[in-house]
Amino acid sequence: METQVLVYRGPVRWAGHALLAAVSVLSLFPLVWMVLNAFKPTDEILYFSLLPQNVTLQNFADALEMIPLPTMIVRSFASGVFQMVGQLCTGILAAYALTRWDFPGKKLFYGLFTVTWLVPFQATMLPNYVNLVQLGLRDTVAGIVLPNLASAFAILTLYQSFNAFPKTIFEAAQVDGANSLKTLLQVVLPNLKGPVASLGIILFINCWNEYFWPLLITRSIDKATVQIGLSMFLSSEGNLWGPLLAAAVLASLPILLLYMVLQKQIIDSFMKSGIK
Amino acid sequence: MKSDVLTYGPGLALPRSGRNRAAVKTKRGALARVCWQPYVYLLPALVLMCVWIYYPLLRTFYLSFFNWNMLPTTTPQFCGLDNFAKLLRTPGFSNAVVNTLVMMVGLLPFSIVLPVLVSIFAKSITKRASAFYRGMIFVPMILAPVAAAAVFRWILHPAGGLLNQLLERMGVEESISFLNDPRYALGCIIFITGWKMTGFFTLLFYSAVQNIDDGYYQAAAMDGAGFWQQTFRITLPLLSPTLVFNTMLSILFASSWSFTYVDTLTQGGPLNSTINAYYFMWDKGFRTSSSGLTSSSAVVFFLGFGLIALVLSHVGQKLSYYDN
Repeated sequence: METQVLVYRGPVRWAGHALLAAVSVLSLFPLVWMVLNAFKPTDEILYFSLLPQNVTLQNFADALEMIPLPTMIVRSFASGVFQMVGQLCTGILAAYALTRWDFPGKKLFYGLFTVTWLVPFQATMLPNYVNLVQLGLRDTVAGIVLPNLASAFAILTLYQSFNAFPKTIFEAAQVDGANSLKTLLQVVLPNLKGPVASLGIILFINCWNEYFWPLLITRSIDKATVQIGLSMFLSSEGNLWGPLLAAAVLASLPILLLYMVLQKQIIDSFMKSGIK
Repeated sequence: MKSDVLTYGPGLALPRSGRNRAAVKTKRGALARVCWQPYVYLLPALVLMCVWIYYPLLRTFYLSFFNWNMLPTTTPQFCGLDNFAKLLRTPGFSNAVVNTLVMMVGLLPFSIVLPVLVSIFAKSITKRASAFYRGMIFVPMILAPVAAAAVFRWILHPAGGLLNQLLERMGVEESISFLNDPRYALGCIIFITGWKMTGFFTLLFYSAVQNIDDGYYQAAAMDGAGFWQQTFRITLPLLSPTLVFNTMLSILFASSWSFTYVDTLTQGGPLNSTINAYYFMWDKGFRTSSSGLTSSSAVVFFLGFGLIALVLSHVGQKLSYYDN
C-alpha cells in the first residue's frame, strides 16, 4: 500500500515547502532567540547578534538567586501530577459509565459535562476563591488542584477512546463473572494505555502552563508555581533581560524535553482529542 | 469476531454454547445492577463539577444582585440592578467590550486563514516532510504562556529590542515602545496570542484534511483536476464542518487565550487599549475587591458569549457540508 496517493510537482510543491518552512521558522524563532540569548552576557544581549560570542551561565546563576526556581518547579510538578491523576481518574470513571451502559439521564449527564467546558473561569472564580480562602488553602498545592480535579476535556476525550472499545467484551467479561470495576481495571484500561497516557501528558502540560488560577491562590513568592514566579519576575525585574530569559528557559525546559521525547504521542493525541 | 474478543485480557472468553443458559441468567441479574452502577461511576466527576463549577456559577449570578466587599464576616446587601447600572458607567467596560470583539476578529487570520493554507499546502508535499514541519509549528502551543510573554516583551522593547533594532536598520529613527503605545499595543497582544495558537489550529485542520478520503483526489486527478481545482472542489467543501467549529472555538476563546499576555505585558493599558472581557472581570474583582462589579460583568459576558455561541452554531449548521 502506498501511503502518498498523490504527488504534486512543480510550483505547488515549492509553494508548499516555502509556506510551511516560513511558518515553522516564525514559530520556532522566539523560542530559539530566548534560548540563545539566555547564554549571552548582558552587553551582547543588547547587541544584535544571533549566536552568543562568549557563552555564559551567569544569567542562570542570577535567575536562581533572584527567585526560588527549584521549589517553584517542585510545586508546579506536584500540582501537575495531582491534577493529572485526578482528572484521569474522574474522567475514566465517567467515560466508562457513559460508554458501557444505557441508562436514564445519560444524555443529560453528557450535556452537563460538556457545558462546563463553555463556562468561563472568570464566572466561577470569585465564589471559588472565597471558598478556598475560608478553607485556609491559599498558598497551597491543594488550593491549586482542588477545583480542577474533574475536567470536561478529559471526560470527553476519554469518552471518544472508550466508545471505540468493542462492546462485546463487556458482555464476555460479565459472563465470566467479572464485576464492572474488575472489567474496567483488568480488561478495559490495559487495552487503552496509549490514549490514557497521551491524554495524561496533555493534562500535565496544561496544568504546568496554568496561570490564572494559581495567580489568584498565590500570595507569596515562596509558594508560587513556576509560571507565577516567572510573571512576578517579569513585573519586578522586567529589564534584566539575561536572568529573565534564563528563568523563562528553565520554566519551559521540562515541557520542552517532554515534547522532544514524546512528540509523536503528544501530537497524535492532540489531533485525536482536538479541543483545548 | 471471536479472535477479536479473545485477544483482549487474560481469562476471558466468549460464552460457549454450553454456558448460554447461565449467560442469560447473569444478564437478568446484570440488568438489575445496571440501574445504579453507572451513577456510581459518574458520581466523582459530577460532584466535583457541581461543587466547583455549577454552584459557583449560580452563586455568581446571585451575587450580581448584591453589594458585597467579599469579606466572609459581612453579609451581602441586595441592591437590585444597581451593579449592572454601575457596570455601564465603569471606565473601561465599553473598551473591554470593543476590544473583545476586535480580538475575536483579529485572531481569525492566525487561527483560520493561515492554518487552512498550511494544511492545504501540506497535502502538496510528502507526508514525511509535512510531519517534520508540523513538529515545529506545534512548539509555541506547548511553550508556557508566561515564557512567551517574556520573550515577546523583550523583542518588542523600545530600548534594544529586536524589532526596533531591525526598524532602525531599515531607517526608522525613533524607537517605538510597542506595548506602551495605544496605537500598537492591541495589535501586539493579538499577534502574540495568534503566534501561540496557530500551531494548535494547524493541527486541527491538518488532521481534518488528512481524514478526507484519498479516493476523491484520485478520481479528480484522473478527470484531470489540478491542485487548485481539487482544493476548491474537494478539500474546502469537506473541511467546512471543521472550519465552522474552529471559527467558533477561536471567536469564543480569543479573549481568554490573550488574558495571560494582557496581564503580564500591558495590564489592560495603555489607556485601556488592551483591556478585554476577561481582564476586566479579573481587574474589577481582585484589584478593587468589588464582588458586585465582577459578578455582574461575569453575568453580562457569560450571556454575551452564550448568545454568540448560539448564533454561530445556528449559522454554522447552515454552512456545513457533510461527506455522507
